[in-house]
Amino acid sequence: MLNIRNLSKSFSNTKILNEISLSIDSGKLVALLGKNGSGKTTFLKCVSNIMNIDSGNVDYNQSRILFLNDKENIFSDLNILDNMKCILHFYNQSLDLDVYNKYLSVLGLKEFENLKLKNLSKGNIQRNKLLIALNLSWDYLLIDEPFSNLDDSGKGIVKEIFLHLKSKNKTIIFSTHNFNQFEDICDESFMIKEGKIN
Amino acid sequence: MIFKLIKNELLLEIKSSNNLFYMTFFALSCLMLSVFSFPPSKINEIIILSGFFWIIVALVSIKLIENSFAREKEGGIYDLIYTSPIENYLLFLAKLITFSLILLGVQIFIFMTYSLISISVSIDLIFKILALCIISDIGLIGLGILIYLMTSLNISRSFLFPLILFPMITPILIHSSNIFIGLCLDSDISFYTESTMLLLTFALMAVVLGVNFFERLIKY
Repeated sequence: MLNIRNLSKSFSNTKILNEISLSIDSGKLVALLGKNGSGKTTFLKCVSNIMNIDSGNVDYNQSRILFLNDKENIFSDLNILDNMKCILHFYNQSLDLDVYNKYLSVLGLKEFENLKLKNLSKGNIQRNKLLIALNLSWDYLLIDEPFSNLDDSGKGIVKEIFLHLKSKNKTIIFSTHNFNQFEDICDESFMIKEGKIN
Repeated sequence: MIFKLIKNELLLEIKSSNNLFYMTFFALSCLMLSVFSFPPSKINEIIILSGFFWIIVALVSIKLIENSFAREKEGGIYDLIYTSPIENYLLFLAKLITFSLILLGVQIFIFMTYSLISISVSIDLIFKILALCIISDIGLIGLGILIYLMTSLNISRSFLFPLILFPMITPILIHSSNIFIGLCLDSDISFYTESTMLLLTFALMAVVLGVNFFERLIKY
């Protein structure tokens, strides 16, 4: 279980997160909702420990957290495979080629395998982010805007992958603006508004 | 583990479109152009060469550090790397070792090429120069990484980074230059003992500070 207690974060006297407390059980698919600038990304960054928090604490109970931000998450001069190998080195994990090839095909990236990542479209970059998540071991995936830049088929694939991961008792917390499209797959949803969670 | 990280950094530098080949070529071009302006006396040539050599080394080391972090930030992969379960000091050491090795390669290449066209500098000195370069590079790169991270959140970082870094690395450059001159002129070892001790202190200080503070500096 992921326990967050009284999490606060400010930027230049503006309180973005104000004493947020919540618990998330494992095996849940959780949506984090809110307007632009409401603090969704800040929340994910604070929980994943890349951003310093003002007060409060986040208890992972020794679970492994993977945070994928809303950027490209690539080394742009590498191709998909080299990028994956590099990231796996940073996580001290080795590549399972069968798993890699399986998800490469599922995500529709097979034909772009040898291209440098800087030459991929934004939609395919987004799919590559999912490929990274599928090849790494983790208990909690915190992913910022996983559906942005994706066409309808891409969104469908991501939904299926999320449900597949959930069936393996993995927890996914994702931020989105457009909850209506993904309401059917979520177990819980939280809205960040004026620094508080509802 | 650290070997995998070093391999990663080397691969990224080699595959980068803004890589060390261009830096080395730029550095060598600067030196070759300056050869013609050197006075025709051995001692003057070595003194000026030494100054040029270490200024080039300082600029290349800054470029190496900036490229590496810029690559991670532009690709948006910074968060993914620094939230990995690997101890952050290993990430610092991997960067330190890789950049020091790259810088060493650049230094050897420049020195060897220069020694081919100069009668004042002999290629036999390469192993002594190599030892000097290793100690200097660790200090230069270690301090460079730390100061880059300290200034990276400031909007004036392009200005602040060199502004803070240059005064910090000036002692390294001056003493490296002293030893370089001593080695080229085959001076007695007592000529550069103190300089060697100072370079060792900087190298040690950079490693200790980096190992202890890198984790705090990469968070924002």
